[in-house]
Amino acid sequence: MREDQTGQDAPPDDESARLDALSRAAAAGEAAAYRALLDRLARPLHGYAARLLGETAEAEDVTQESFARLWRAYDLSPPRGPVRAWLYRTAHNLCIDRLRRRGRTMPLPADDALGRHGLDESPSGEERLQSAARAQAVRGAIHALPERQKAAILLVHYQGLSGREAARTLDIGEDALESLLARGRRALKAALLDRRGDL
Amino acid sequence: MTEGDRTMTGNGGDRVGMGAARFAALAEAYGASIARWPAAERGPARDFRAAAPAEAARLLAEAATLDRMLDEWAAPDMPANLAPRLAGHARPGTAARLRRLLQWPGPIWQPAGAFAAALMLGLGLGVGAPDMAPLGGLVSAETPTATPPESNGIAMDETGEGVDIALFLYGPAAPDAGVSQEGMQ
Repeated sequence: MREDQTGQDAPPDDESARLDALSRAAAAGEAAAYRALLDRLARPLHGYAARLLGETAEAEDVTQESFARLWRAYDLSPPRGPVRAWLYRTAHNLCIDRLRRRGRTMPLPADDALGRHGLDESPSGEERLQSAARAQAVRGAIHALPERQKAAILLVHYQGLSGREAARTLDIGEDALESLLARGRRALKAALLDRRGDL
Repeated sequence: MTEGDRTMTGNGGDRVGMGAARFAALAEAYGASIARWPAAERGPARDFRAAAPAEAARLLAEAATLDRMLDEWAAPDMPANLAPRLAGHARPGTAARLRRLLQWPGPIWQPAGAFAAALMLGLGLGVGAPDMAPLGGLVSAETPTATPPESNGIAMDETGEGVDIALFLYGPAAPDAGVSQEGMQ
C-alpha cells in the first residue's frame, strides 16, 4: 500500500515540487511550513524505516533523528535538491547503520507484522488470517531481497517516490535504480505469485 | 533493451516511439501505473498503449498482479504520540530567525545608509568631544568629581576630604601626572 499523499496514480514529481516549496519556506523560518512538511512526510518516513528495520520503536527514533537533522540543516546549509529525497536518504542511512550494528533484521512483533490487517474488522476470522498470512509472506519475501533491491522496492512501490528521487536517495543513477527494481520485482514475483495457491 | 526500444528525443525533437520491450521493462520495474513511470517516458508509453492496446493491457495486467500482492503488506501504524513530539521541535532555527530579522523590504541602501550615518556620528563624537578619560591625571570639568584648576590634581569628595586622582589611579610613582597638569595650564 503506497503511503505518499498524492494517491496511487498521481505523478510523484508534483508532490516533490510542493514539498520543496514548503521546505524553502521552512528554511526561511516559517514554522507553519515546517509543520506542513511534518504532516506530509512523518508518516511515510516512519513507514519506510519500520519496513526496512522490521521494528517500530527504532523506526520512531530514526524518524525523529531525520527531522532533527533537517532542522539543523536549515541552520547550517539547507538541503540541496528535493527535500523528500534528502529526508529519505537520511533515514535510509540511519536504518542501514542500525541494521549493520545489529547484524540482521529483527522480526516484527506479532501485531506489527500484521500491520493494519491485524486491526481490520474483516467479515470472518478466516479471511483475517488469510490476509495476515499474505502480508506476512510479502514481508518475508521483501526482507529476503538483497539490501539495495529491498530499499528500491520500498521507496518506489510503497513510498511512492519517483525513480529520480529514489535514485538520489540511494545515491545511484536512474538506470541502476531501474535495474534494482526489475530484479527485485522478478524475485518477488517468483517468491509470491508462484506460490499463490498456498496463501 | 535495444536503442530503438528506449524512448529518445533528439536535438531536433524527433521522438523515436517506444517499443514493446521498453514498455515491458518499465512495467516490470515500476509497476502497472504509467503515472508513476519516469516522466520522460510516460507520453511515449501512453502512445504505445494507444497503438497496441492488447499487448499493453497484457503487460500492465502482469505488473498489476504483483502490485496488488505487494499492497497486502501494510506499514505499521505510526504511534499517535510521535507526530506531536516531532511538531514540538517545529520552530525556526537560529539562523533562520536571524535571516528574518535582517530581512529589509526596501532597497538595501536604506539600512546600509543608516548604519553608515550612525558610524560617522560615533566617529565625530569620539574625535571632537573632550577626552573623558583621566589620562595623565586629568578629569573632565563636567564630571561630578571634577578637579578644580586650583586644586592641582586634588579632587574633593562629598565629605570634603581631598582625593588625589593621579595618586588613586596610578599610585605614588606616577611621574607624568604633574607634567600633564602643567602642560594643560
